[in-house]
Amino acid sequence: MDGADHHAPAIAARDDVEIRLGAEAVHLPVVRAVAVTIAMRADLDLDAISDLELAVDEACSSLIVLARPDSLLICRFTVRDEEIVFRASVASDREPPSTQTFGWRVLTTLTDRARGWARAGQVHIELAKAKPVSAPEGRAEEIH
Amino acid sequence: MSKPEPNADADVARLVSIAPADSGRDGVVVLTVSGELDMLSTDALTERLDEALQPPAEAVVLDLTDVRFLGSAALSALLKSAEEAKANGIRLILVASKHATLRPFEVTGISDSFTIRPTVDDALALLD
Repeated sequence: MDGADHHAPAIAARDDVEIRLGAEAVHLPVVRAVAVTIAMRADLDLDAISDLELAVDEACSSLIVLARPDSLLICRFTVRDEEIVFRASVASDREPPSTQTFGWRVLTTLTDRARGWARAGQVHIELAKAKPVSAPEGRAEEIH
Repeated sequence: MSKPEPNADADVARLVSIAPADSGRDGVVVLTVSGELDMLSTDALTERLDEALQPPAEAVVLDLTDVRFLGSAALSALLKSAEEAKANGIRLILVASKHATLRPFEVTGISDSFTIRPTVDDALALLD
């Protein structure tokens, strides 16, 4: 086991996008670019797109710091009807990221939920961002 | 043990560029930043900003107008620079007007630790 296959859920939804990169800061722009593209395709507005980009970057940045040298960062985007879920993990023997940092405040404020945990030599972060409600049945609610 | 990164500088240069601009005033330094300020590129900003925040400079205007990404590493670095500037009696004014640059300050609740203006002219006007 070289860690390359850690966290490999079944491909239940074939629309999922998974990317695997070296757990190095130089690759962050790639993850951000994918996040932006996926958010655009999910019809998020410009502000929400940049919020998701920031949240994804924070999640990956904090995992990269914890990652074992020469290990992988595995990221997975799942686009559901109502939300975009982003999960990322690295091989690490450390604790999950502290919830007292700037980075974590960014994560929790910009997403609808975020959590981090450590298990079996891996640290994970999962976050979710709601998609805009399309084709509203009533017109009572304002989109904000 | 991390392997050597011969291209680290090139990677940073691809992400961000930081250049001094003419403020037209004595003692006022304008630094124009463009690109993306993330975990990798923030050190370049800190370096240039620390250089600028030295006497005889009286004020530094950091123009973030063309920054399209600003992560928490940059926020932490800017907070540190703002404290240092204060300690040295130098004014630090940030220029930001877009969601991508204003939002990170808002969500972390640290906007009040900075003087932020929408344009360089507005920033310079504070120094009149």
